[in-house]
Amino acid sequence: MLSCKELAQHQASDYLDGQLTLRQRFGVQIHLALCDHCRRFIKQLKLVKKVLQAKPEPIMDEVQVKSLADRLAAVHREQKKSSPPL
Amino acid sequence: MTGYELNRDDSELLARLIAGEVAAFEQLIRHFHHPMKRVAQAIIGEAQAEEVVQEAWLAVIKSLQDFQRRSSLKTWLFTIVANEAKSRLRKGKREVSIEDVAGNGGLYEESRWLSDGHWVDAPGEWHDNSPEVLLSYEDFRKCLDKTLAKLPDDQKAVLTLREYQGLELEEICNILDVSASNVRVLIHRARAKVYAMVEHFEETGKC
Repeated sequence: MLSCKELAQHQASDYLDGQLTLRQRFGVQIHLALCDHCRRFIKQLKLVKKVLQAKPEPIMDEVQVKSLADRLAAVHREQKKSSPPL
Repeated sequence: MTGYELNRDDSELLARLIAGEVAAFEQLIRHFHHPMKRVAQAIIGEAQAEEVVQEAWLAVIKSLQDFQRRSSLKTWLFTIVANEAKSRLRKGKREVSIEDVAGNGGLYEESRWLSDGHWVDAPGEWHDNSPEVLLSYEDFRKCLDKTLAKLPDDQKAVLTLREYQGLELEEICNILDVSASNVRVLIHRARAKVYAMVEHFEETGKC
């Protein structure tokens, strides 16, 4: 039978991400039906996953964005000039 | 969330990029520069990551006209930056640091487990149980940023590609040159660290 430790350390994310085999998935489901501690753990790990997905990406400095965009646009213009579309 | 459904907007954005619209370049850079840098960093390390991304942007511009749309625009961008980084690696496959468990706290501490694999103590119950509530606390956000910044580069890149960019496992394997099982381990290790951080925050209100 799957232990709490094995579930928490190795299978929990795969379970949440749908990456387990049918047999492994069934093992986790049986375990969760019987184990309050792991049910709580999985519920909270699911929250961690949601927190990570909901967290905004760090914002890039606008000065850096603009200077890089200008440079790339200039390279692009040069390239277009030297090889006009057919 | 990035607030930007790139797949849906690929064609429109691509047309604006090909037309040379500066605002379109800005949009692309704003959304992808940091994530691309994390991918570069996972492959070649922090010191050269920025340079690699700059080179990758030039490669993107050069091949914009030839982008075949066999993949989404974002997968294409990550592939270009990964290739740029890989081409600088002298030889041999890089090591994936999946052995890194130090600092995982919580889940990987032996003291947390009985010899038969049961929990010594029940995992504490968290009171704030919505991501919006947790992320609304400034202290929480700072603590989360600190925790994420301390993750090994591989874990950072995998989290970025999977959780923020929503790439498929197979795409991540190709971009980072790691096996599917390693990607899965890296994701779980990263989440386990964040779990330990949230647990501590819920218990003590501190980072």
